[in-house]
Amino acid sequence: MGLSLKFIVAAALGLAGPAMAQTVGSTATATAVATASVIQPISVTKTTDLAFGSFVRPATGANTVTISSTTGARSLTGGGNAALANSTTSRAAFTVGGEGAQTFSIALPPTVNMTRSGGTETLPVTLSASGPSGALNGSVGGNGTATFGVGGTLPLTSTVVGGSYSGAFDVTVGYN
Amino acid sequence: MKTIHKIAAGAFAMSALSGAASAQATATGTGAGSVTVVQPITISAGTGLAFGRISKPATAGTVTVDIGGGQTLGGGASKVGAQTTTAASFIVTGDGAQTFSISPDATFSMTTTASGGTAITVSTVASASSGSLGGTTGTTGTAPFTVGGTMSLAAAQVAGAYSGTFHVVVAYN
Repeated sequence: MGLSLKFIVAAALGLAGPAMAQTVGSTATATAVATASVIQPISVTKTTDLAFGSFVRPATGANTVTISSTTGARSLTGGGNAALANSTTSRAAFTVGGEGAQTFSIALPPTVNMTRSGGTETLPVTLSASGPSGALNGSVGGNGTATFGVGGTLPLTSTVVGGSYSGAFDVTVGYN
Repeated sequence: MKTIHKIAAGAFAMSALSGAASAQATATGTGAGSVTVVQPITISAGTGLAFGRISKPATAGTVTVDIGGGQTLGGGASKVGAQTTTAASFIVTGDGAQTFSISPDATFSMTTTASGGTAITVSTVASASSGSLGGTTGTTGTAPFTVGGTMSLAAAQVAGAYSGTFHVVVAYN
């Protein structure tokens, strides 16, 4: 009896072996990799406003006052007899923050109107950025910063109403 | 006479016992003869599931890569620059003309080594819940399928590179 029992157990094991192999052959598993990069959001902050300063309008002819987007220097061109007055002038300046070593685009409206304080008269300013794009310093995985400037041109004629003019414009930066 | 009769009866009983043992062994051998053997099913992974480059959100959001690799952004998620997104691709090989089931992990996590980073949970979607191998029975057939997914970004998600792995099981129907 003891011997017979052993034989039956051995036979059952032998059967279980092939049955297990069949199960493995009817299913298969693969492993795949998933990835994503989350990077620092981009931000832009104004550090200086665009200031054209003071000037005397031309009695005859027309002039253009320009503030350089790269240096902030002010210049007067054109055939009129306008004159620049001593005053504080500046280009607009912006600081961009974001993921290090990334490049970004700079967008701004081509023109913006300045309105006379206490009145409704407007002066159109044509805006220009120091570049169409910029690059953040630092390296990927860390924070980076960059700066850029915005200048503009302002037409002056003999009919410009005297006064103080101001306006506002938005700049937009976006990762490339 | 009476005594001899009794002995014969005892011998019959013994014989019946050994007959039962031999019947069991015979039944086992017969069962093995009717098995149909098909090629084993195998699966290999191609491209990974790539969600692209996402800006750290101000509010929670989602990024979905569909089974064709197309990207959709939801909530506070926004993409950064040109995106390279792909669905995960797989090729199944096995006996021709057989059908099989496709079972990816329902969810898995992607983690980052960035300081303070928490895991991103991804839910998966397969291009189909089952597939059919090409070719005919007795030859080798193949069938492709893809897996897309949706990842959930927390408002406080730390910037960094995230990666994870998931499994897909295929089985003959």
